[in-house]
Amino acid sequence: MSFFDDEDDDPLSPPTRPAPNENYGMRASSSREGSVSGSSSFLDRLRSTVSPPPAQSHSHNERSRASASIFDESNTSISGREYGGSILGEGEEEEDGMGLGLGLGQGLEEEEDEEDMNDVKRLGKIWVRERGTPELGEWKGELIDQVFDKLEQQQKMVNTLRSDPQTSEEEHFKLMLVQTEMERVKYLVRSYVRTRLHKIEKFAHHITLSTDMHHLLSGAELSHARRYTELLHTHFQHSALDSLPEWLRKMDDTYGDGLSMVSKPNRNTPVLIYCRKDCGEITLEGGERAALARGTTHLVKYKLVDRWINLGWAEVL
Amino acid sequence: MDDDYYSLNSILAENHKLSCSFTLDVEGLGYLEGGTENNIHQHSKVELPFWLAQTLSLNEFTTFPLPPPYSNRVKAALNASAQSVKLSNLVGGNGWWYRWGRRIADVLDDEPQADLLNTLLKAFINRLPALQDLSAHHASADHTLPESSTSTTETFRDGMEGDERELFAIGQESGKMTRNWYDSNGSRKGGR
Amino acid sequence: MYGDLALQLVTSSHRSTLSTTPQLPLPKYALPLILSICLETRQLGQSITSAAEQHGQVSLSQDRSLVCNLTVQHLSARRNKRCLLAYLSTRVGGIKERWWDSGGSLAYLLSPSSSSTMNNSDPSAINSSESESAGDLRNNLSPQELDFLRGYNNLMIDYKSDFLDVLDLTSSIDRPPSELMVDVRVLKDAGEVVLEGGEKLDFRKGERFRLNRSNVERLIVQGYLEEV
Repeated sequence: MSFFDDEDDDPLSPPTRPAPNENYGMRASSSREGSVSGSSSFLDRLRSTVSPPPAQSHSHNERSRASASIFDESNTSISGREYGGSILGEGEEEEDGMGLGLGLGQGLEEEEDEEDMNDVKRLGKIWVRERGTPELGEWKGELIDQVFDKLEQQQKMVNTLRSDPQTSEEEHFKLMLVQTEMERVKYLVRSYVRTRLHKIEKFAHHITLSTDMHHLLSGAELSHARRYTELLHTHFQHSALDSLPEWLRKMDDTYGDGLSMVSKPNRNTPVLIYCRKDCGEITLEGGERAALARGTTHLVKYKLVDRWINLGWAEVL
Repeated sequence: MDDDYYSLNSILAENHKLSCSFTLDVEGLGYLEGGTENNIHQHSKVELPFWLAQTLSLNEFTTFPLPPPYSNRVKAALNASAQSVKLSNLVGGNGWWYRWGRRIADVLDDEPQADLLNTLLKAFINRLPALQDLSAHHASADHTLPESSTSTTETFRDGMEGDERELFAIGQESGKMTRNWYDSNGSRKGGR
Repeated sequence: MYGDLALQLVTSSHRSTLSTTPQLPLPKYALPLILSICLETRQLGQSITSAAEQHGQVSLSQDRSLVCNLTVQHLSARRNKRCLLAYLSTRVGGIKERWWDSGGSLAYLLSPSSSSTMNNSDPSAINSSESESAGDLRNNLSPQELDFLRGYNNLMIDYKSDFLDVLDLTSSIDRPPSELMVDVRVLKDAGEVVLEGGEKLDFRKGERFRLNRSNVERLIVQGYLEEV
């Protein structure tokens, strides 16, 4: 029923409505042109209060500062680059995607292309991926912008209809459902952003030092990484390091046994994936080979399949 | 496995003592033995925390034998019946047999290292079925003591080391959560 | 032995992580212990430096006994540093946790009443030296930690601002929202409050409202409202 459904299925639309339809059609509303006639469903009324989709470049929008990547999004070549990131958020409940209706791991028969998915579903998958991988994924600024635009539109529409004295009780109830869905989408965005923030702060120093990672972060995230690193290091200096011998005051020591003061994500972390496409074979430790065929599920070290995950060919569960 | 520089677990784990022999006399380190001697003598056996033992051994200031928890006797017992071996008290305190083993392995030469790692892996794999069974059993029933269990199950339950106990707890918890979810959904036709 | 004090610090910190309270306990900052560890480390540093000066390059490359001794001192100093930073780092985690749980309300965190509503304070444990002090957060943090908290607050205010026109980043993410509305009663006067959609309400003690959960979560956490 979601307003976010770009497809035109419309479970809210009452199949046969008695006379009241006429009334809907008659209501004077400045936002509705006369073109909407008696067959208007509730959804039509909702849509009619909404402004047309905004232009692609939303440069005046402050949020673009948060969502703009430094590099072009198309610049994701697959090389042996070291990414940074970490794993799950602090003390949050593990959410299966099912409760939010995200349809994870489904679609064996359908060839579900990325483009066909609506924004919320896509956000859902990105969210699961971010929570399920040790490294930081790419910031999906464009998607977030689109979701935000829809949220804003929907809020406007809800506000308009709520204050309209002619809105029926049934419609008010449906508005509540719309609002509930909005809250759930906001939850998704919040959780996505905060999962990333957690990883960014955990590996802030590493991120600051690794310029090849910077394209993965939004402008605001990168700025946060730098400033957080500085804040933390200043704290350590004032609390302890300044009171230690000079040769012990650095924050980037690496020791003989491989231990480093700069925390990096553990690429050996296992990850549960479902192959949406055939990803060929990988070689496991001990020489064994595993076929990542379409439709198969695997529990495997992240570093062996990160390429497929980032391409979207393997879906994180 | 938590090897992070800032990890409290990692720091504490590296404090675990290893019995080492010094390969030379060292002036001024007598305090390591805890006595009143000023110097260490060659061949003295001293219990050193791992964070010292590791570097000292790599630089050949000390040597150490394969610690008892990973001796041939333990290996043989594991080969015979992995599930019957009591791993819980082999490595003091909380008994992190696998983690401690991995740390030791890092400091060994190639061959003994591969051998030890293999022992750890095989032990883990062979004990896993018992762990899963036990955990599933405890997830479905609502008690903490097994009713009628074979002696092997009981031995295993008492003998689980640190990581195994954590896995057991996760499995049990997870099983309970699944059961609760089924129960709650049954009355509400799967909706929220 | 060198490193013993540092071990104490880490052990006590680790014990706090085993606690079952909803948040990491933040007992009083262990200043005396930290000062002692820093002192010990400086002494190790001096000892190493003077030994190096005293013996010269040749000895340092040939006298294995000397090298072994210096190695132990060096490792001990590094160990101390690591323990200190791990202690600080763990507490930083607890501080951030409290910031997020309070919904980003710095004033609330630093007020004397905050800890008694947020922590499970056990009255019988208040006078025990081991337990977390029932005093406020402000007392238990070092001045540097307070600086960190303020700095972090500023960082997050900046980061949040990009999203604020649509959503509040600091709302809870414990679980996805299942109900839209919640019934609340006002426990203490909160004055006029502006809600997420722009609506303004006057929260006076004793009044009841039925509101969007998202709007009032923070006020519930801070004790102004209670769920009915």
